[in-house]
Amino acid sequence: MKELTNEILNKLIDNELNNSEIDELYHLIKQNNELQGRLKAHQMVDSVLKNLKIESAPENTTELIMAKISANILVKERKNGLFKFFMSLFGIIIILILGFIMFSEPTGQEIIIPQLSSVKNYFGKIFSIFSFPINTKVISIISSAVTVIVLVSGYFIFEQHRAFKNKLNSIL
Amino acid sequence: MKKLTENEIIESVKKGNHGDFALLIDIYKDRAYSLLKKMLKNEMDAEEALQDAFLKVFNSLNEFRGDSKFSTWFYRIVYNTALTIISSKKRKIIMEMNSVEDHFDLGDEDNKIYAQTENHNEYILQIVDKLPVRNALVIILFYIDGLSLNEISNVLGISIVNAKVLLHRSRNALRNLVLKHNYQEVIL
Repeated sequence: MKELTNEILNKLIDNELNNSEIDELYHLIKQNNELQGRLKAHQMVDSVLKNLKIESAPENTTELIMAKISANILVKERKNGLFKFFMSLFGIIIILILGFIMFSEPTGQEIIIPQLSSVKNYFGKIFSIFSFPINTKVISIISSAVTVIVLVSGYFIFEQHRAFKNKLNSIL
Repeated sequence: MKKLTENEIIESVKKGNHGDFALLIDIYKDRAYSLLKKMLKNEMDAEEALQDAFLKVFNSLNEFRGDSKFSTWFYRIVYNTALTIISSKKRKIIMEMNSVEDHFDLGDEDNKIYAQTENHNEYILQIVDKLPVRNALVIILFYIDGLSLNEISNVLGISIVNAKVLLHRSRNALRNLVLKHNYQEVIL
């Protein structure tokens, strides 16, 4: 070791020098005040940095972040719930329309399109799997059941919305 | 009550116990805040970034597979959040981000801090605040958070060699300032 370089000083601080290199270093600086000063200054910096204090985050940080997370979760749940509701409603409406088309009595005035007729027959066959007699009474029972389901779903959606609003108010 | 380890907390949150995320916030909030304050040099921005960073961590926690240490993954998010804020505000800091100067020209700031501080301890701590951002970050991640140079390079997205160069240059610069004011004479 001929001179005290920055690299050697940093290696000393990081415990990357072996014993013989450390001995060599101390031998080199023994009679040199300037080099001793550099080493002392370097060690001083390292020692102060080792005692660096962590700054405290504001007191209510955890609560604020958790509130934001809860609000995000609620919004996501609400979006999912609404999406499911509208998809179900859409599905029910489609089924009702299809059912109405398939089982409505022919008026005699409708224009017969062969392709439409074959599609109608095809769906007619599918619906005939549920082999129960379709008449006005059955249709009114199905309509009543669907109405009840829609009303109950509506009630639950309303309750969910109210609970969401309450939660949101409690968070904010 | 049994104290959960960091990995247990992460697994618990992943399983849907969202409330346990508060434990993770408590572990990291102060360290992340220190880092953000050094980068953004403003308390309000640091608070805002801190909240954003934790939200991002929560939303992407399922993507954390444990390939690296959680702290490395976490600090990377904190660092990137701060970068986004910096770039949106187009601060002077952007210029500083590329600085790897060996000698920091603190000019009047150095003299002001020297005049205001009573001892070498106070002086060095205040000078760290005035270092270019990346130099200050390396020092914080190395000395406060105890990250290795490999982990620091992952957080900052630089090579290990560059992380080492930044750390060494920061120390050398601080040492030169200590020598300038003869603080080394304090040690007998």
